[in-house]
Amino acid sequence: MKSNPPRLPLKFLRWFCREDYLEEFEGDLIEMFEELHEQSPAKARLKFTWDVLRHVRWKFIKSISTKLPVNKGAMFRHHLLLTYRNARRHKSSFIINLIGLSTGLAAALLIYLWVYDEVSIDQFHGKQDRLYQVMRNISSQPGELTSSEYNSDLLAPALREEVPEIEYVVPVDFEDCGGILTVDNNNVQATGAIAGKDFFKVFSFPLIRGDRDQVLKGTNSIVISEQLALLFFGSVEDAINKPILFDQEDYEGLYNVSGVFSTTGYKSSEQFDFLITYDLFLARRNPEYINWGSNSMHVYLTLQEGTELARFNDKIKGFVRERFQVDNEPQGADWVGRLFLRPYSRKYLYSHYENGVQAGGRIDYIRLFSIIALLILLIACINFMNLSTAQASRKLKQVGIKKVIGANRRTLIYQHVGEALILTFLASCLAIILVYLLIPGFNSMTDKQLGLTLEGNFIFGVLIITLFTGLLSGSYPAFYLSRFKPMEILKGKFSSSIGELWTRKGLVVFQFCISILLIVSVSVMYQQIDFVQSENLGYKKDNVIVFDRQQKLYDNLEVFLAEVNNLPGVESSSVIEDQVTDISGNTGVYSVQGHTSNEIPPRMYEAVVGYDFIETLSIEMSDGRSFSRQFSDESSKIILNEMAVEVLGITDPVGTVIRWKRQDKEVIGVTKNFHGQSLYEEIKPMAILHAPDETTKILVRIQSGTERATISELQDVYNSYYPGLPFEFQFLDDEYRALYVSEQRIAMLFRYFAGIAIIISCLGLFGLASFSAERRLKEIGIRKILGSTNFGIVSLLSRDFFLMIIMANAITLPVSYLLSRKWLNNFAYSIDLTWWYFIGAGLSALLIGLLTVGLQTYKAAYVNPVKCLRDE
Amino acid sequence: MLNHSLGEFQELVLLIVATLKDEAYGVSILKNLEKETGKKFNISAIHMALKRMEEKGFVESTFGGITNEREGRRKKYYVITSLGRSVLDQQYEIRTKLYHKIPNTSIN
Repeated sequence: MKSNPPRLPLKFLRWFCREDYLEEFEGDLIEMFEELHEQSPAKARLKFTWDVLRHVRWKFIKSISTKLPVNKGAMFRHHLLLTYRNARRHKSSFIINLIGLSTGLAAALLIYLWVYDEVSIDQFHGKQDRLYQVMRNISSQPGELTSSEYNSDLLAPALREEVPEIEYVVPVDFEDCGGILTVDNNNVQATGAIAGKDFFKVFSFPLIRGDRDQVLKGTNSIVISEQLALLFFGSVEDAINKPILFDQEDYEGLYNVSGVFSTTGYKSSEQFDFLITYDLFLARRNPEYINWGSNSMHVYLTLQEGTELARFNDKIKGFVRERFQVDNEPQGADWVGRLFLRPYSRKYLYSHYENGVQAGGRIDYIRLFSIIALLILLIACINFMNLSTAQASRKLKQVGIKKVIGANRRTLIYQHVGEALILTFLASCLAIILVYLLIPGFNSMTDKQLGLTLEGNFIFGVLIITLFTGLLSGSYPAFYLSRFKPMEILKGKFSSSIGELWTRKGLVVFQFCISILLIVSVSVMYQQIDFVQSENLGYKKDNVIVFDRQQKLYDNLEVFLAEVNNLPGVESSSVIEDQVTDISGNTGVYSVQGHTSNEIPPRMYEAVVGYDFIETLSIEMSDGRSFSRQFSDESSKIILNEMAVEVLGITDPVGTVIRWKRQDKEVIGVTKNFHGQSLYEEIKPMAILHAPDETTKILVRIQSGTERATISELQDVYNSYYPGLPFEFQFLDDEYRALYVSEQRIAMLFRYFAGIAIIISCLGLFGLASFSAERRLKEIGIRKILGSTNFGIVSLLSRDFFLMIIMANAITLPVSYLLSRKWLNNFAYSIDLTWWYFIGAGLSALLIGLLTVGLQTYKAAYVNPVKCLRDE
Repeated sequence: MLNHSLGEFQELVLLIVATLKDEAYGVSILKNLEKETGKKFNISAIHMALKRMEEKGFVESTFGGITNEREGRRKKYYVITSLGRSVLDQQYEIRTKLYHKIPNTSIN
């Protein structure tokens, strides 16, 4: 009877025992086993196992250091040589791999640079981990929370007084403070911010002149940027204590430069050229507004070290609510809201809140593009894997011989991974050159100032990406090739198994899935953006220019507008408080006089405008009239949109008196609904109020065709108020387009990345097709002799690839439908998804794929059968 | 100088290797040792002793030819070296010398 020793202990022995002792030990154990087996098989097994276990001794264990000495340098040179020879012998696949990997790497590197820049914004503040912004959750509608950055004027001082856990707290207004700075007839339009005195203690903006404690005190101080100092005074030193004239509605006056800060060496989401003081803000503010119900300021603070955030949030939750006196508004207490802290370092990337809960923001784009970078790299790696495994037969003899000579699996794996790494390294050199060439274009697309500097982080990024790509693309072929048994290879018994074929096909399908997904995304995005641009907004956005109403235009508005209206190319002009494309600054509670229902009166958005607003924007009226200079006392009148009429539930709107903030207003007209916000939002009930004094922007409708001449005439009128200052304006349609700038950017980037993904996938397909055509050359020859047509051969060779792309379509189209649906749900108004977006994308992928394969196979099909059958 | 110490168990194994002459390999050493001493040993202990003594230069080893026994694994034969032999001699000398020095005070 043949007796085999138990397998598991034997395996174990082979695993741990050093090679030079193994045969002797194994032999002795087996001999003893066989002898005992004659008497008692069970006992023999037991004893064998026991004996194996007893051999686990330090001296007998394999160690890494007792390996045969390997000349590392020589091996490396050998790998290099082999890589070089392989590249020379198989030029086409080498070039395909190189192009594929380098484009993939370049795309990934660009995305890496972008992501790195994004995540490093606002990360330079020294007190980073204790720096927070005070936010407020307001319930604007029942059951719905809105998170606001704005807080009361009184909040910062009160927090400073009453909450000991706070180290410093500072009120800041980064907006609403731009204007013209003047020194000796030198005018500069600059953006400014209002900041409390501890600004430079809370934030780490570098103050290069002036005392941190003093620069933002008093009503007379201004802190300017280095650039402004150089521009006005020639040097930073000379700027201190010099006067600057500031021309702006609220803060007009002469200020003394108390400090200078630097704007270089850090990345901040907030950009400002100068700072004026909070004391000034309070001094100039209408005292009526300084109350707990105001919301004018961002409030930032640093906590004392060791303060627990959750407990602190709990403590200040009701801080404002307790102090707020419920005055004229019944829901007042609700919209005062509850306070909470948001880490300042998260402000830029995690800005979006939904119903009071953090829900993404820019981080979504970072994630999206990181995933795309990964997918593109993966596609490039798959090309390499597929080509190397498909061409394994070329390398088999080499592997066989090496194994016979004594290479173990590990050396072979090292060799092939090494080959992949060398290739990836070459590709990354090419990729860096590509990135260098592409970066200006990429910067203008993403509105960034990325540079290709050889800093630590960039080199680190390149190294990580290169290593990752090399290891990923080298690993599968390495394990695949090193697995073959030398005997079978050398006897020529090699055949690829079904499983390998499926892996290869699966990888191709995967590549095309990603490509199709990207094509669908691009087409859906472009359709939606197109829809958004061409959608009838309810007003005409063409030929309208918008510019800021500066101080002198406040004092002389009517005169200025009369002068503007007299210009031959001007059709109409008006003023508005908000941006036309985003009327969301003010809301108020309205009720119809006489209605005494128990219902909560609706909250409506307010557009605060001057005369001729409806005419200037060409908004259609459905009833009544617009504000006109022919009537006096227009400020007691109101115009509603149809949505507002519906919400208020009035049947005969014109003439109805509506109550708003203790005032009665008579409805004089109703407009058709128009989009006062981006198409992300539904059309809201809107009240149009007449209060020219509160407006901040001037709108001018220009006759089409006369834009250039009219604008230069407008400039002359403007310069009669502000000599020498450039006339800065924007077209309304540009302003509208700017609402979707991030979508447009992403669509554009998507288009390029989709292109890259398709190109790389097709390169791989091209390589595979040419290889399979080459392998089947004899078969093609025989088929042709037997009467097969060229078309027959092309279809024979293309059929597999055709099926693969069809399969990729079948997998991806439903997925892409769901993803598109999800994206479009962000918009209140969106395109309908029709089948041809998907079929179109699928067909185009199929077409591109077949074209690639067809070219190769056509070449193969046209071969002269004599040529390929002659030598055997 | 190399380590010339020889433990008790190693000495026994070395003696067996010497007596078996050309037929000393793992299993035969184990069997003879058990027969001579009447005790049970584990094969791994024999292997350990052999490898230690090989390092010290007391024994030398060579592979035998491939046979049908042991599923084709070759036997490893051990022979005693002259150094091994002289160490054995020394041990023996010391022991007998000491043995003879035992005072003859036995209870008859």
